[in-house]
Amino acid sequence: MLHAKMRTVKLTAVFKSYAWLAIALWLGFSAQALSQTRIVTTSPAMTELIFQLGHGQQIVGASQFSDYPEAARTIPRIGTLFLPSVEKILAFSPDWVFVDREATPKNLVTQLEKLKMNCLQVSIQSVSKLFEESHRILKQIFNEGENQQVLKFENQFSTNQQQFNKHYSFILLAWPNPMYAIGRHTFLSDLLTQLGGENLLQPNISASYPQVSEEWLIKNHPEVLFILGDSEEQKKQTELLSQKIWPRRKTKVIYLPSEKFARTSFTALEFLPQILNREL
Amino acid sequence: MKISIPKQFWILAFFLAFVLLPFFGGETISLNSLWNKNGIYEIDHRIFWDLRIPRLLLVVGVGGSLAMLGATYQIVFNNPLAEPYILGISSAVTLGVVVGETLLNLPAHSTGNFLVGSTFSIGVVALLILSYQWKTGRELERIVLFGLGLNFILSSALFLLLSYNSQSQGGGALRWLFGNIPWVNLQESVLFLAFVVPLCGILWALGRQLDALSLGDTVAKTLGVSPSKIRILILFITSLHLTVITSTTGSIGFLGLVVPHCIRLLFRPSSTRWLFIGSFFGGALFLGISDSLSRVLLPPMEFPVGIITTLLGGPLFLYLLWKK
Repeated sequence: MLHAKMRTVKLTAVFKSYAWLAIALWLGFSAQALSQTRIVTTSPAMTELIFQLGHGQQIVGASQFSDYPEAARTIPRIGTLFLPSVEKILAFSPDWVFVDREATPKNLVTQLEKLKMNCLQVSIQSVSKLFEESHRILKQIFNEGENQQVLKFENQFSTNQQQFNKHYSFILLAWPNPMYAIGRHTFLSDLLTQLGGENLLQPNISASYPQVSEEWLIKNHPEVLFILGDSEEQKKQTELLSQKIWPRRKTKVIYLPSEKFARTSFTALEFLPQILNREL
Repeated sequence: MKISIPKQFWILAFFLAFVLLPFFGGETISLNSLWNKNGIYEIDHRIFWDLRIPRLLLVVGVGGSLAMLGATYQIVFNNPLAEPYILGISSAVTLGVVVGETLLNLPAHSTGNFLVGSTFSIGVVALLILSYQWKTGRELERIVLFGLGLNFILSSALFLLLSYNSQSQGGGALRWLFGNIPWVNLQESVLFLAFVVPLCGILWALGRQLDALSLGDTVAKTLGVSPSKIRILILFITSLHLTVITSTTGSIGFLGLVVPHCIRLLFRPSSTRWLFIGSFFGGALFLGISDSLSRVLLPPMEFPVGIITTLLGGPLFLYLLWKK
C-alpha cells in the first residue's frame, strides 16, 4: 500500500517536472517566435515608425526610399510606395505586412488578404492618431504594454505644446510650382496646428494635397509659408513665387526638410518645435 | 470674303468671350479694381493685371497653336483623326522634359530642359522621316502608324519614369502628363507669344501648299508642290512648335483634334489659311474657357487644364462623329 502511494507521489513529481519543462519550452519557443516576427513595410513612413518603436531589426522587406534611420537603407526592397511587388512581399514570407492606409494602393490589401497574409492597416492623419496607432501596434503585434520611448515622445510633445505660445496663420505647400498645398486633414497640418498655427486652406477641402490657384494665395496672405522640402530648386521656385504673389510684404518662409517632415513619424514631432523656436 | 450674318454673330461671340474670360477665376474681383490699384482694390487689381491677363495671353498662344497644329496634321496626313499627339512628337518632348527634370535635375521651364525636350523631339522626327522614306513606297498610313507605335512606347516610358519618381519628386512631375498652365508674368507671356506667333505665321504662309496637298499628292504635283518636301518641312516646323508648347504646359489633349472640326462645321472655311485663322481663335477660346473652368469649379483648387479639355472635347468629338 505504502509502496503504491510512494509510486503515485513519484509519478506526480515526475509529471509536475515534465509539465514545468513543457511550459518553459513553450514560453521559450514563444519568446523566440515573437522575437522573430517577420515584418514587411509598404511605405517609408511605416519603416521609420517601426524603427522608432524599437523593432526595426524585424523588418525583412521595406518600401523603396526607406532611408531613415541609416539602418533602413540596407533592408531589401519590395518596390515603390505606389507600385509594390506582391511577389516580393510573398517571397519574404512575413508574419505581418504593415500597410499605410492613406498612401498604399487599395488593391494591395485585397491581394494580400487573398494570399492569406496578415495585414495591419495603419492610418495616421493627426498627432493623436500617431500615439494611438503606436500603442495599438505595440500591443497587437509585439505584445507590449507601455513603451517607454512612446511615453517619452508623448511627454516631450506635451511640454513643447505648453511652452510654445505663439500663434500664426500659415499655408503649407508640398510643391511651389505648380502649387500643391497640404490640406487640414493631414498629419503635418495637424502638427503645425497643435503648435499654434492656423492652416488657411478651408476645412471643407478634403483632398490632402490639392493644387491651388495663385489668386487664392494673393487673397490669403499667411504669416508663414511652409515649404515641404529644402532642395535648391524648391528654394528658387519659392523665391519666385513669393516675389510674384506678395511683392510688397515680405513673407516668412520656413523650409521643412522632407527627410524629417514628409513622413508620419516621431521625427517631425521632435524637430518641428526646434525649427519654430528658431524661426518665429 | 463675304461674311454671312450667322458667321458675324459667331465672330462677335468669340471676341466677346475673350473680353469676358479674365473676369472668371478662383477669386471674385471688384470691377472698380481694374483701374484703381490703391487701398482695398490693390489685391484685386493685381489678380486681374498680374495674373489673369498674362495667363490669358499664354493660353491664347498655346490654344491657338495646338488647334492650328491639329488642322495642319489633318491636312498633311489626310487623316481627320490626326492631331499633335498622334505622331508621338509631343510624348517625346514630354518624356524629354521629365527626363531633364527627374534624372538630370534640370529646373522646369529652363533652357537646359527645353534643349533635352528638343533633342527627344528631333529624334522622333528623324525616325518618322526615315519611316516615310523607307524603301520605295511612301504611304501616309505608314508614317501615322509608325507615329502611333512610337507614341505608345514613349508614353509607356513616361509612365514608368513618373510612377517611379512621383514619390521622391513630389507632384511636380505629374503636371506634364495632364497639362498645366504655369504662372507667368507679362514679359514671359509676351516672350512666349513672340516665339509661337511667327511659327503660326509660317504655317499660315504655307497655306497655299497645304491647299494643294489637301487635293491629293497627284494633283499637288501638277500644281508644282512636292508632297514629300512639304511634308518633311512641315514636320520640322511643327515639331519645333510643339516643343515650345509642350515644354511650357505639358500635354493638353483633344484640343487639336476637336477645334479644327468645329471650325469647319461652323464656318466652312474656303481655304486652309481661313481654317488656320479660325482654328487659332477657336483653340485660344476653347483653352481659355477650359482654363477658367479649371479654376472656377472648386476654388481655391485648380485642376490640370488637360483634364478639362478632354472632358469638354470628348463629348464634343462624339457629337461631331454622331452628326456626320
